[in-house]
Amino acid sequence: MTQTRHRVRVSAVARLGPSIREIHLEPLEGDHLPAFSPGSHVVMELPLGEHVLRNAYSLTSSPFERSRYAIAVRRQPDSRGGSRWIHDELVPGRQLRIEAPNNYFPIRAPADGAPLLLIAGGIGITPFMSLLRARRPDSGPMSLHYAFRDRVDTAYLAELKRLLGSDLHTYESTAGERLDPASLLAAQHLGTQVAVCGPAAMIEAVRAKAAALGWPEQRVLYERFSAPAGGTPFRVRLQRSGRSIAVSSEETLLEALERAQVPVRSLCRAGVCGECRTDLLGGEAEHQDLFLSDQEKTAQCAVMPCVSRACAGGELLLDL
Amino acid sequence: MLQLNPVQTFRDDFTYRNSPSAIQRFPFPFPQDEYRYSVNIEPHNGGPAGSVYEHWFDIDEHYLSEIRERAIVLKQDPARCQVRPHMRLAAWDTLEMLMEHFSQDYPEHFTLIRQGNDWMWINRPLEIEQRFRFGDDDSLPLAPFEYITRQAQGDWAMLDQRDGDLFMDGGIITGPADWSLDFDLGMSFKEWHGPVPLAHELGVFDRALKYLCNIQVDRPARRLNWTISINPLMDQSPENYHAWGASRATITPDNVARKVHLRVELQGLHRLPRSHALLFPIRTYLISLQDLVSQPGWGKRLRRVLMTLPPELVDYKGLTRYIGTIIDWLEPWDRDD
Repeated sequence: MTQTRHRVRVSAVARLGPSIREIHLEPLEGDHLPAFSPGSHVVMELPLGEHVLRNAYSLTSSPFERSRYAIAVRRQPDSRGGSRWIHDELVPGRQLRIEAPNNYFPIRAPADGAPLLLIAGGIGITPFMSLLRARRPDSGPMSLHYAFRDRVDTAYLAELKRLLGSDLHTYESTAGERLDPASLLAAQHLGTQVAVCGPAAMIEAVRAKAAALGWPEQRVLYERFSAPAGGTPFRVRLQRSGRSIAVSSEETLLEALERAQVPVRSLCRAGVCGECRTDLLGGEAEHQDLFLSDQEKTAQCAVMPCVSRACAGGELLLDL
Repeated sequence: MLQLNPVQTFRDDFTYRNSPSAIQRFPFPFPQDEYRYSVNIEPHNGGPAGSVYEHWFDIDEHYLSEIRERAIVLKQDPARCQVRPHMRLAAWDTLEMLMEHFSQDYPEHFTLIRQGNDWMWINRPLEIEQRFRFGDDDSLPLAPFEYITRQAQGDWAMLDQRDGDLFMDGGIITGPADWSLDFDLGMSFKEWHGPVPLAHELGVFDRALKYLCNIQVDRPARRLNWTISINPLMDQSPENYHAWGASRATITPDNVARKVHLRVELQGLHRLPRSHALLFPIRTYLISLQDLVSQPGWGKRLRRVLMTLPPELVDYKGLTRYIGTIIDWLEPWDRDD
């Protein structure tokens, strides 16, 4: 089963920093794109030579703007070609296909009026932009703590200053400034909702500190800014068809299965939604998903092919 | 083209009847002979033409009757429609979703014309032509959720999603199978399912909640739920118990075929795009036993399900007093020929 696809045209490419581009997309059919909620992303099809790469990007435009979407992309040095293609090849006028927005990071102010604390690392700022660009005076208390390497190559700083004023706190690591999750969380009001998007280490530090302080799990929302794309090559055997497929270091298990035309239902491609859950009949998986329970991961009875791989040197046997 | 019946009643003289085509498309809910508890949620992405699954929101010949029944109930008890203040955006999401789908799927009856935020809604069966501004509550004669759901068959609830849970924070519930919005309003998913026997222990609600919280825009899900009603009584609410509670004691071998109805709910779950709340339509179909047995295999299947129903569920569904009468009456359809 596939998601509804929409044809869009690149209406503008804006330079947010030496290695960050904001891409504006407008609908080719009709005059508006689907409505969405803050924290949503779209999966964009990137025609890279022979194969199509499907990458997820957070929507950075306001949800109240229906005539266009915006996404922001940082050039990744270890890219599989997606960010390089967007930076080097994508120009206004180009037509693309995107899937309808999904949201696995629904950021919102707590219903009880408690403050919303946003923590962003680098390009992890993107899912917060749709929330902040739609912020209204009655949106409730919120603050943003934004950590990045250096000011020059960082997205949206001036705009965030305008949107947030003194509720924006920045940390520039090349200037010796550090965001310390421990002291930040310890200083928050009881009941604060934290939402964090950034590198895995940042997310883990926030989660661990929140747990140590006794925060309820539900008040800690997080999203990795990119799903682990590649890793060590391995082989996967398919029980029902008897086939054996090689998964290269450049692709995910899901992508390898799709390339081999093995039908697997998928949706978020980030280990969150559970759609691509596949029964694991043999081998040990290195689980990277946020969907399976700890018991399921330990039992090695299922795997999420969109993010997980075989343990080093291993082989997986799937019920496919 | 969908033909709408003249108004029939779900009360007093109970003139509600199913046409032969309504009987044929009735969503018979039992996939096997034995009763089995399961989450039974599946994607709701269309179905065979003419079936109740063809469109996101099914409209059938009973449209006018159900709209009138809803108006009667709301006049007597306005608390059947309640929307908590923070669900305002979800209410507009609901209005847009219903207007879009009604006008796309039943263009002979409904039209939606949009120019920016200036909208015009035409509902021909109810002779409504309404201009309004999308997002402006004051431009409609009623609040947006009540306005549109008074023009829609079935009950509707809005479930707010926060803190990894769902909350019953709005709805219009005029035809429930023994539950009350006024009582459940504000409850979390497990709280409003509190009275359901057996399922909590099986972990059904943990799995269901995880699934529901991950439902995405344009990827709705559905499930069927069922119980039994005496008479085609839509408003089987606790508030209205005086009108139906005693009817359970009136079933005899002579009237069972006419009075006992299988009551099936087609429940949908739709992600609302701006608010990230879930819209939960509960579309109720009623069929008398005498109409039900006109379909091959249905009488036998229903009898076998009732015979294997755990006693806790017999009690929960309120069948204790008359389930034996139904099983006896269905016996001729459960013979091997």
